[in-house]
Formats: sequence, structure tokens, C-alpha cells
Amino acid sequence: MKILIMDDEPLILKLLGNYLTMLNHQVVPVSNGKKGLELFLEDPETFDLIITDFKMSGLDGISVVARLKDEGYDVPVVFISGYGMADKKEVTQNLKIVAVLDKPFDLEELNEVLSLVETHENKQ
Amino acid sequence: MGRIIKGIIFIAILGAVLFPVLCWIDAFELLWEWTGFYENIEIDELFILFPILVFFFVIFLGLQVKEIIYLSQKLQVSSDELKVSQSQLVQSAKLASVGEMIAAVVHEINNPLGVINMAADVSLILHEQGKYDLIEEHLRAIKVQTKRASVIVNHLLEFCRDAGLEKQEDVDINEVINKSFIFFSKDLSNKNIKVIHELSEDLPLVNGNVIELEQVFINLFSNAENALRSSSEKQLTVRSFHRGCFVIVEVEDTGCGIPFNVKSKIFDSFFTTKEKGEGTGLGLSISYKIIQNHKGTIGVESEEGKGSKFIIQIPVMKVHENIDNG
Ligand SMILES: Nc1ncnc2c1ncn2[C@@H]1O[C@H](COP(=O)(O)OP(=O)(O)O)[C@@H](O)[C@H]1O
Ligand SMILES: [Mg+2]
Repeated sequence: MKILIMDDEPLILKLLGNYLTMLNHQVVPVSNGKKGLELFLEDPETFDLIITDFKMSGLDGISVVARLKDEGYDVPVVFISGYGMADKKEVTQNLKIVAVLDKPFDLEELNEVLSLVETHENKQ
Repeated sequence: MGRIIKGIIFIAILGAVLFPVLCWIDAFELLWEWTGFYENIEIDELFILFPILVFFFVIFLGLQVKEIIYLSQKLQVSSDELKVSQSQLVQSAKLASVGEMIAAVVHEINNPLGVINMAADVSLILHEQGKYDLIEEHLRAIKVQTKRASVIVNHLLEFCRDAGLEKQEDVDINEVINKSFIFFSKDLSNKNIKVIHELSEDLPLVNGNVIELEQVFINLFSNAENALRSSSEKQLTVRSFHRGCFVIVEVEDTGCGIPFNVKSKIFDSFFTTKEKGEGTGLGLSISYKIIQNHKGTIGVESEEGKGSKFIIQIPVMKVHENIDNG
């Protein structure tokens, strides 16, 4: 899969990127929402998944996803949150995203989400 | 207080004992006759009358004294209670400001935990694959992130603790300002608030309590963050400098500002314009008290719709106390 990762925590970006590369995914890591949105819009059809932090300085994950939904893209999104459950319900209700992973999350949880996205894609 | 009351009781008892005794003495009898008041009363009757009068007088006095003792004890208790509830108020205001920051604090802890957990997971995979040389880098990341989380947790504990409130020491205000940002910086940047530090590099020390002063700055930053919520230009400037015998700190925001009719009330306890659950109205009143305890002043300049500037002045330590600083 081609995966866009947005997180302003450089180490998360790097580790997650390395891990997904290890799993033979093609990774596009960016540290802010503005850059992420730009890269996505350059080639929207090629992305299979977005993994993004909720809150980032500048354009945050929620705004990016809202923008993409507005423009009619329904790419699956996995949110990573540092704020715990609190924000979870609101966001999932409004944007119908695939999953919200609370930091710290296990890579196994991520694997489950990935395979969910993959099987869903294969069906289409 | 207790001594005076004991003295009164002692004199009263002495009087009660001595008075009838004196009555038996002739000299006293003469004195009595000399006053000439009681010509028609027999002296013998007086001998009986006086001890009885004195007895009642002493009892009356005793009751009064008991009442005074009771009242003074009650006063002592309520002044103790007042002291306790005052320090409880300071403590709960502190906890309230932690409550306001808690989301930011949790985020600051969850982020390093996220990195740690991921680095550990990746290390396990690398270990399985026998790529041992790649593991070291991840272990180092784990160590760095553990430190990062522990700085926040420890500082949170230090800040919330009840103890140390009486401690007075030499304080570098810049250091206190920087520490206050441990909880805040990420949250402010997530909210797109631009923070500008203009901290003077050769700031003299002041005498005071680090935790209390930090509480003041946290209150001001949290108020500023709140005021900036719906501003288009979000800027928070923290300035420190030194003028005359004062260290001056200015916390300036480009937020909603304070309406003229509200300005005079903001330092009152429980005055808030925020929704229930959002504000306690204690931040500024506690800050005022803290700065007052430091023999300083806190004031505000503000224009509605443009922003606010809180100005704190704290006296520099006296020269002979401040020898190290030249
Ligand atoms: N930087 C600021 N900008 C605008 N208004 C402010 C600012 N700081 C304080 N205020 C006003 O002063 C009031 C009292 O502040 P405070 O004592 O900290 O209590 P609280 O923050 O719980 O309301 C606030 O409700 C707000 O109306
Ligand atoms: Mg406040």
C-alpha cells in the first residue's frame, strides 16, 4: 500500500515509517498537515491510507481529513491520538474514519487495522 | 492571652480570701467607720454580708473569665481554620490550573510513551529477524523518551505538592518562566499560538517561592491561551527585564482583551467570564496574593478586541544579599 504518514513527533514518524517500510509498504512521511495535504493532492488516487496525528501545529490532522472529505476523497484514515479517549467519539462520528489509535499503541493493533484496510480494498 | 486570664483569676481568688480576713482586722474596722457609710448597719452584719457579696462577685468574675477563655479559644480555632482554608484555597487553585492543563500534560506524556512502545515493538521484531545492529538505535530512543516523560511527570508532582510552599530562596525568574512552559509549549504550538520569548539575559535574582511564582505564570499563560482562542492573530509574548530595583515580567497576548467594565473585577476571587467548568475565577486572585507576598505588584493594560498585557514587578534582592550577582 502507499501510505501517507503525518505526525509532528519526528521519532514516531521515523519509527512508523521504518516499520511500514519493513512490511513492504510505500511510505510518504511528513511532519505537518500542510505538506501532507499538498503531497496527497498532487497524486490523490495513488494513496491507499492516511495515518495521521490528531493535533499538530499548523494544519492539524482533523482539518486535513475534513478538507479531503469535503473535496470528495474517501481514502481510509487512521488517527493517532495523544489525548486519550476524550476526542475519540466526536471525531469518529463526524468523519467515519477507520480507527483511532491512542498513544501508546502496540504495532499489533496497527497490524489489525492495516489488514482491515487491505481486505476492504481487495473487495472493491 | 492565657497569662492575663490566669492573672485575673489569681487576683480574684486572692481578693476573695483576703477580703473577709481583712474584715476581721481592727484597722479595717476603723477604716470602715471612718468612711461613715454604714452608720446604721451593725459591723457584725457586715462580716456576714461581705464574704457573701465577695463570694458572688468571684463567681460572677469566674463566669466572665470562663466566657472570655471560651471565646478566645474559639477565636484561636477559627483563625487556625482560616489559615488552613486559605492554604487549601491556594492548593485547590493550583490543582484547578493543573486541571486546565491536564490535556496538554497527558499529551506530553503519551507522546514519549508512544515512541517508547513503538521502539520496543520494532526492537522485538529486529531481534526476531536477527538484525541486532539496528536494535541499539531504538534502545537509545527509548532512554531519551523515558527521560522526557519523567521530566514532565516529576515536574507535575513537584508543582502539585502541598509541601515547599513556605520555602523562600533565590529565584531566577527566567528559569521559572521556562519551567512553566514545560506543560504548555506543545499545547500552544498545537493551537497555532506563536510564543515569543524576550527574556533578559542578565536578570538579577529575586527572593521568593519557585512553585508559587510558577503558579502565577501558568495562570497567566492559561488565561492568554483562552483569550487567543478566537483571535486571527495568535501571539503570546513573554518579556522579562530589570528596571531600578525591580524585575519586571510582561505577559502579553493578542487575544480578545478585557472590557472596561470587567477590568476592575478580574482580580476578585471567583470572578470569571468563563463557562461553568471552564473557569474558577481563582487564577488571578491567587496570583495577586502571591505577588503581594513577594512584595511586588501585578497589573493589567488591555484594550477590548486587541489584547492584554499583564505586568508583574518583583523587587530585586537587596545588594548585600545578592553578592554573587555583583
Ligand atoms: N489574558 C486575558 N485576556 C482577556 N481576559 C482575561 C485575560 N486574563 C484574565 N481575563 C479575564 O479575567 C477573568 C478572571 O481570570 P482568572 O482569575 O484567571 O479566572 P478564570 O480564568 O478561571 O476565569 C477571566 O474570566 C477573564 O474574563
Ligand atoms: Mg484563569
